[in-house]
Amino acid sequence: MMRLKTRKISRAVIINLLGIIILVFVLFPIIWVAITSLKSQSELFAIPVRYFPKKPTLQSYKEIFFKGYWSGQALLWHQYLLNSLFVSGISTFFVLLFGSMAGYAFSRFSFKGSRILLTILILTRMLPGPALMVPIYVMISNYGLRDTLWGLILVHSAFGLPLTTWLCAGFFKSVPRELEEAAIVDGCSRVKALFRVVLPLAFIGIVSVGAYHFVGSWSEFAFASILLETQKIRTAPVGLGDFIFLFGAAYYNRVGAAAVTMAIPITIIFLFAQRHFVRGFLAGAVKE
Amino acid sequence: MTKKIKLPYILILPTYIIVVVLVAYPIFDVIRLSFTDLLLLRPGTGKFVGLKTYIQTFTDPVFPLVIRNTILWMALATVLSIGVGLVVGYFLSFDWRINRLLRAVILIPWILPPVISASIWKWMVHSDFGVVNDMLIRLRILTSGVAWLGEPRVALYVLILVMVWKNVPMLSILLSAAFQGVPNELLEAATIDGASGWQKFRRISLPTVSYTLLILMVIVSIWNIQQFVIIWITTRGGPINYTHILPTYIYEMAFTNFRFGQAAALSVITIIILMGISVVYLMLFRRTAKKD
Repeated sequence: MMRLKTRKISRAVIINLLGIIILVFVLFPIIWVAITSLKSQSELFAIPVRYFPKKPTLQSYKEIFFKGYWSGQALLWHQYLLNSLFVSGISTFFVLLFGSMAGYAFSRFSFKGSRILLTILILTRMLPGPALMVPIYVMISNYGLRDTLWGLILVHSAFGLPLTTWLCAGFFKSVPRELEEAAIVDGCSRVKALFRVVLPLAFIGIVSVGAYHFVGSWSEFAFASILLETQKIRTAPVGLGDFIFLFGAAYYNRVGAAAVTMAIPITIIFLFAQRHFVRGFLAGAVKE
Repeated sequence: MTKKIKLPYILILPTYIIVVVLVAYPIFDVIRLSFTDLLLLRPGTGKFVGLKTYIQTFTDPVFPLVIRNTILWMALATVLSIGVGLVVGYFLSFDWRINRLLRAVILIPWILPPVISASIWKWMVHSDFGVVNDMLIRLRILTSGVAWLGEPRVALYVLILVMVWKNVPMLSILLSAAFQGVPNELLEAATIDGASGWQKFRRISLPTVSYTLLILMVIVSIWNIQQFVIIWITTRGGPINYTHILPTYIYEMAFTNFRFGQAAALSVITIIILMGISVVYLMLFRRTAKKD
């Protein structure tokens, strides 16, 4: 009896120990960047490394926002964040608008070529983005959209639309067709039925698709870095990349401060929509 | 009647215009560009030069190294991510109290932008002030700090571990869901028959998730080759090209050296390799589907 009990306790200890190891492996780097951002210059280079700063300070946050300068270059971190917000916001609006239109068409009508068209759309997701950097750069330049946020919005929308359409079609399909038909029989027009019946029921799904795209657009580095040249219109990922090379190790607390402020909005979005993210990801990647 | 047929086409039109113009057309354009000597967008360049860019690529002394790195990066990052993801996913599939906490936070590394992951790890593995060296010295594994990203033989492997850190969360969540789909009666019957924990895992749980594993292999290897940002931000392909993979090499060729024609040739090679991998996977799927 005693033996069984000790075995049970030691099992619980091992499980919790393993769990804590996984937790540390996952979270330590994230906590570390937050700690780094709170260090002063002298504590940044303390040897041996200081795990808990004695005098945590928000100095590096102050330095990257607003009127910070570094070797003659203005540090426009707040501007970068606003640019990112603009690009992610507008491109999310576009993909939700066009993606839900197309998704509705695929879920409610069976029209000539619908299966092939949807397959082609999904296949474009297999394309490696980096391999299309050169032709897309050439094209965006030819349209005169290089070095504008609108060019980047267009690219983000184009890469986001296939998945958005696919997921929206799934959410619309989950709304029983009978409900919509009943509304039409009761005298609703098709459009009215869409807005009164279908959209409210598929709403949460569609919002989570939007959140998913927003996070992707907020994170995108490659196209933003090649299409945006003027410093003032760069997005946050490009700005952070600049900071890493501009400051080097000497001011890594500022890099940390930038990383933390950039991570906060999407972490909040994610914590709210977490369950839908996993489901959306499963639908987009694992099915079919 | 005609109105009914037209409506769905009108609804899908904007999506298809955007995707065809910005994603589908560039695939053909990159092939065309790969046969030219386009230099940035300089007028006068962009003439047809035949196979010159391809000959230059295949005689480029760096190219074999880039291919080796690409294969290493894709293979190791994929296998290690799925291996660790399998273990963590199995752990997460049990109904323990600590798992509730783990499931709530584990996806955060996955959601973080790759630029942030890169910035975090670049500082963590810094040779003098990095926390990784500090820990290893405290544990007496090292006597002095190692420049993890400065050593040509080590840097790529360090970056592969960063990729594993980024991939494991999503993989373990997906695999834990797959493990939870294993029928309970089967596991209980095995327990009654005296099977050990390992036997249950090996004979019942693992075969059940094998199909999910195969699909994840495809997805993860495609993730990995797209994820060049972590390399670009931390090492820019250095030291002496030892961490260059095809996408970073394309990026450097096009936007540092401005040799668009040759970057296009590299892009075409990348697309062909990826298509080859997809075909191999498709054949694998067919075979496992037939077996079932």
